[in-house]
Amino acid sequence: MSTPENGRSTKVLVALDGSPAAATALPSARTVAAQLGADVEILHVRSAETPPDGLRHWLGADGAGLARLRIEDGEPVPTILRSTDDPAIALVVLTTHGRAVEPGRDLGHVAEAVIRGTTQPILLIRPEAAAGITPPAELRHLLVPFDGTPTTAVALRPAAELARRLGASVDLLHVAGSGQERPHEPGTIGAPRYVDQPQHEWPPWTAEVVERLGCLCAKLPPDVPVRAFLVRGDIGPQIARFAADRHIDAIVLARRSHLEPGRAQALRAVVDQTPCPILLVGVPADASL
Amino acid sequence: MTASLEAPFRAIVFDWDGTAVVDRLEDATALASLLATLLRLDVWLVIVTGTNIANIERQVIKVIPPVDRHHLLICTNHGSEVYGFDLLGTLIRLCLRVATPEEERALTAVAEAVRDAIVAKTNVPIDIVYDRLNRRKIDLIPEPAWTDPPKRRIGELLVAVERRLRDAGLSGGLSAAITLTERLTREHGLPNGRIMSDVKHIEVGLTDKGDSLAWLQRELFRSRGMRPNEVLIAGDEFGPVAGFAGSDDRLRTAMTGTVIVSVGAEPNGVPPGVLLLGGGPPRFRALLADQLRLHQQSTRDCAAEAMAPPIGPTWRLEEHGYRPALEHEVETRFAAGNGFLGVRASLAQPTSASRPRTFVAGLFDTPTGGSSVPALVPGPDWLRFDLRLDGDSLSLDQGEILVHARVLDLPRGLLLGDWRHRDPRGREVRVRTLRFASLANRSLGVQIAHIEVAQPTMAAFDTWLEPPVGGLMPERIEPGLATWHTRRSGRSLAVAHSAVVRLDSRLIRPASSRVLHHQWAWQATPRRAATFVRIVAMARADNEDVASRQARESLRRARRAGVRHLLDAHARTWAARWQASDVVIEGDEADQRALRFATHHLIGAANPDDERVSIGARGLTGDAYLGHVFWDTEIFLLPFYTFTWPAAARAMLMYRFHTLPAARAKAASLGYRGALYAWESADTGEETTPLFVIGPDGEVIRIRCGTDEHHISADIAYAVWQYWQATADAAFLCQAGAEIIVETARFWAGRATLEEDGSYHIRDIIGPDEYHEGVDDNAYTNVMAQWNLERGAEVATLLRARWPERWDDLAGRLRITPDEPVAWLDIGRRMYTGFDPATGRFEQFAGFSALEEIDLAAYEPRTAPMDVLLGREQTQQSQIIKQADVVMLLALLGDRFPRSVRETNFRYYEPRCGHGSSLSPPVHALVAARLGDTQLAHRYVRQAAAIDLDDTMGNAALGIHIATLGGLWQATVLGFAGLGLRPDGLSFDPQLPETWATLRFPVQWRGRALRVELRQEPRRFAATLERGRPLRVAVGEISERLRRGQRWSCVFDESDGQWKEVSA
Repeated sequence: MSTPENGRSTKVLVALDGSPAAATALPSARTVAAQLGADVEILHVRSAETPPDGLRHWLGADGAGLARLRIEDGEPVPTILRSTDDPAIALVVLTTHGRAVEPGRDLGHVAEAVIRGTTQPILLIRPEAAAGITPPAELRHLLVPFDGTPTTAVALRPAAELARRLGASVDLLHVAGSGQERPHEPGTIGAPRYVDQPQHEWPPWTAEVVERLGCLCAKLPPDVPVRAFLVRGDIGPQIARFAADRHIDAIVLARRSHLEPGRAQALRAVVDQTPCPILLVGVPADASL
Repeated sequence: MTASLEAPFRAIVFDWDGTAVVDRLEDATALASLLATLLRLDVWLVIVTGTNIANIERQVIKVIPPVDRHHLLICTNHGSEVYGFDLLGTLIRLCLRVATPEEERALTAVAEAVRDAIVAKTNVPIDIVYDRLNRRKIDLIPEPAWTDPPKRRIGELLVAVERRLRDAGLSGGLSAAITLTERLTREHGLPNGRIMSDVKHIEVGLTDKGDSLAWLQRELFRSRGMRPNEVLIAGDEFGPVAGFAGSDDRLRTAMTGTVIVSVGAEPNGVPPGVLLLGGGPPRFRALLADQLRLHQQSTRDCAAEAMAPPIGPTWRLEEHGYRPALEHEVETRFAAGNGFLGVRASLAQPTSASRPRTFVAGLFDTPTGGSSVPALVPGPDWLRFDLRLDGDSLSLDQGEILVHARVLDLPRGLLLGDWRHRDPRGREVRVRTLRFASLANRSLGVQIAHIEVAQPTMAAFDTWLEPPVGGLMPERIEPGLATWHTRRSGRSLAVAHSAVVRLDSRLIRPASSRVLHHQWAWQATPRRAATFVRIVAMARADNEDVASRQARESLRRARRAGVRHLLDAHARTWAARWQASDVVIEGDEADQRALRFATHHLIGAANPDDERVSIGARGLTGDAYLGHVFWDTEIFLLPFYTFTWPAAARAMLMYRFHTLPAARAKAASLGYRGALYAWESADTGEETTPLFVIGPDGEVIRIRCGTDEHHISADIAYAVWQYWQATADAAFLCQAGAEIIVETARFWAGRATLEEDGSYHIRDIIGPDEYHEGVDDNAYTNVMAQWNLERGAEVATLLRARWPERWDDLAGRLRITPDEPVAWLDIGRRMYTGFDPATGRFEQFAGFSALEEIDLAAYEPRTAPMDVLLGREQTQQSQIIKQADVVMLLALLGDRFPRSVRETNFRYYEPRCGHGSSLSPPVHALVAARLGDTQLAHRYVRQAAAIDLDDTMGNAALGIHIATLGGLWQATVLGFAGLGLRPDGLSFDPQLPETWATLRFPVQWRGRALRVELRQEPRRFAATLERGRPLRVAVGEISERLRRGQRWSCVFDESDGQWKEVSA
């Protein structure tokens, strides 16, 4: 049984299509469920395209008794989205793509539609990466890239609560590059334009970022250890490099409602360049990443 | 008396000619006396007139005592200008509508087209009066008999004009002429042009009296919460004349619900809503006398008036609403200070976003754990309170914020707050607050809160002193007094405090009183405001007893004087400082606000009474930079004080004198004689620069400035010399200044080494461009060292000649041999400067030219400094400059180089500068302005102003960039006005940015007070010596020896590029 959170049992929902790729989400789902004290619920959506062979194979190998299996017939996207309405669900675990790998798309159409269709936090696993690495023992070290705007930081609030429940520390990371316009949103704190004396600028700058964006906007609880970092370069590679250097367990991104090609550049860059799981959290439709 | 006139009006707006006076020749002394009495009762009086300020000044202002003028406003030139007065009674222009060149051309074109059309039709002469602000006057009857007809002859005038036009063929007469003017005004691209007529003239302009009233509504009535029926408008011409609206009618149309009266004859009646009294000026004076009686009978709410924001948008900074993410920046920008106390603008009922801080200058300590770097430690938060309604605390986080506004009152140095809130149970309350750190008595902080409820409720009000957030240890806590001491530095801080609550002007007893905590409770009802007043007196001393005694005594005197007196004394001290330093820019409201914001913080940062402190990099407005003092103070701040507040400049230089022993010790520790000042200095002057910092990427950055950046010694010597030149303060020079210059010169004599090429070199150094560390022969450092050595020798000669005993004493104490100053001159002469006569360029340091050239434009737009984008290593291998370096040299010692050298170096180094420091933009502005590149200079001024004022920068949260603000003043006065020092006075080389119509500022020189006025079009210069013995003022190639009270005006002749005198 799950450990109650606020007196209520919680679940981690894993959506599978029976493919080996989708099944790579399961180890991470189990890890995070254990951290949250939640049950794992496997949702297998059976359709004409999804023969159950892979699923049976995995369940046999890994122990079906550790998770509740729910099999439903129908179209994957609406079925998964319907299941995410369950208030007991703390997290949805998905792979970036399942059976069908679509050329030119970093996100499969099911993943993309689910990301767009729910406000639940989603842990997104890249199957190719997950297959090649040892899954994290636990999600203890989260990386939160930020663009400096309060809006984006506010959108990350669900991650703050998750971080507390996971017992994780948080690194806030800003990537500064040339060709970037400073956001005009009041209260933005990105890279400082002037660094008169580095010995006096960087310590208060990092403290201000943590306090303003982490605590005030994202509402990170006081018991979550937070640090702020600034690196230079292109967003995707720098996040990937930082995640590798700092042994990051998952990267937290604010979800966008627009996922068409050419949009959500940070998400696509991170999906493309880092093997880390990505924790997507809800965000107002008009927020920018 | 008519019923609507039986109430005391808070504002009386009136026309001048025909309403207040019969004509401009009338003796207005009796009227002025009546006006002054009303002004003393805080009634706002507003004169709205078509004429210019000089006429009003001559007739009435000069007979109103200066001290009574503060509530008097004068709207002149048909809505184009508004004037007010500071607390000392000095006239200030609050608003000026500046016509664009296109509008000026269009006004002239309309007037000439009307004239030509009438002349073509009638063949009678028609004249145009061109020299009026934002308007042209078409004279329909330019005949000697009608040169300046009084108003009482308007009927005859109308007949004469109509006959003149109609008899000559314009059958529609005056009406047709006005219709023609209206059409031509539209056709010439002035759809909002204003057409007026006094019968003799048709005036076409950009504004009218309606604009005056719109301004008043915005700036006076609304900001002070005046209801329409609290405003009286009086005129004499509301009704139509010859078929068109009377000259006062625009006052009527812009206001509804206001009481409007006419004292005019109004032969054609008055429009609806206007009460016709008749009787002319005598009736108006009777009306004022009635008002005087009514006001004397009424009870006034002084606190409410004091909490009203200042008049004029460039005299205040406003923040509306409450946004947690912006809170730290707001706390910085709206901080109040007096050079001893610095108080961030945190909320009295803090939220999770608040970072309350009160800093006390000089209260440094070294933390016990971790860092060994001394830092300014915050004092207690003395502003806390908690208001509860029926037991529920009022909180921004709960319920609905109806209004939340903070206003920094620049002229009075006040922070004003207005918070209207509906709590979760639907109760509404308004809390207005006022706080200041007294400029009249720097130990005092005052807080007032005015509480009004909308529904009956049980109110409880708690106040307390919140203990310091860290660094201070409690020593004595007793009723009315608390003291703390630092852990290591041996400083004590005493805070004596008192608080009262008044209800219906009566003190109410606290419901409970503990040592640091008081609580009051009362039954609150609507229209029964409670006023809370808290006074704190703080004292810093090396001894707890002394600090306690000083704080108690200061509080005792303050309580005896009363809060009204404290507020008045504070405001008048601010007014005096503004009078000595206000930079007035007309034509560009953003720049005007930026300069006033800068001046406000500069005034609030200094303390002429304390020689043991100086101004840190963020003043007393934030934790960042730990209160440390850098070269910023001498190079970026001192000129403002030297030229506007010499006593403050002197105190800051005395701080350097008192820290000279530490500077000598630092030089000695590196093996040199003389004085090497700390790159970062706290209370003792010892080096306090941290040795390393963990960068934002987690890497450890070694900080070498504390050991290798030496130009600060020459910078301090430069400030000493500039102060001496500007003030002729011989006592300072003999007591302190000479010793600083001599000791720093002596340091350079040892720091530079003679090498095989026969030159002296300074190796392994850091210049202002801190991207390049450990370089050889940094041009800025070497030339400043050269200059310092020369001044060392000059000071020695000067003292020997004029104050031989002083010199003997100094030379004896410092063991200066007679040949040492001679050697300084020789070293200076042989100093390697990196100047290449072939190119006309200084090489910033040896090898700079060989470094990689990087096109900085290719990295735009960017949000981060170049060393962050490229990395420290690549930046060091490139020609990217952190901040003005050679350009800094041009700013400080530009007079040493011909213009061609300045131009060549600026054009070479400016594109290579990444402006990674907030110090950089204002210096580039200054040098560009002096070179005449006003467009580029203006761009840098805007960039500098945005650092603290732009919401999107994020930098302001950590404290005000006070040096940048000092740089803004320099860019304006030393740059655009081109102020320079001469042995016998001051010189100017004015070149204004395109958007600045005029620039006016005061400046002091050797006990003289000079007021300077520059005009853009036509290019004019004027200077008035307001105080002191004669001095010589030069502009371009001409000069004049000004006597006290003399105004000297010059105009720039574009044909030969020379300034010409207009009048002496």
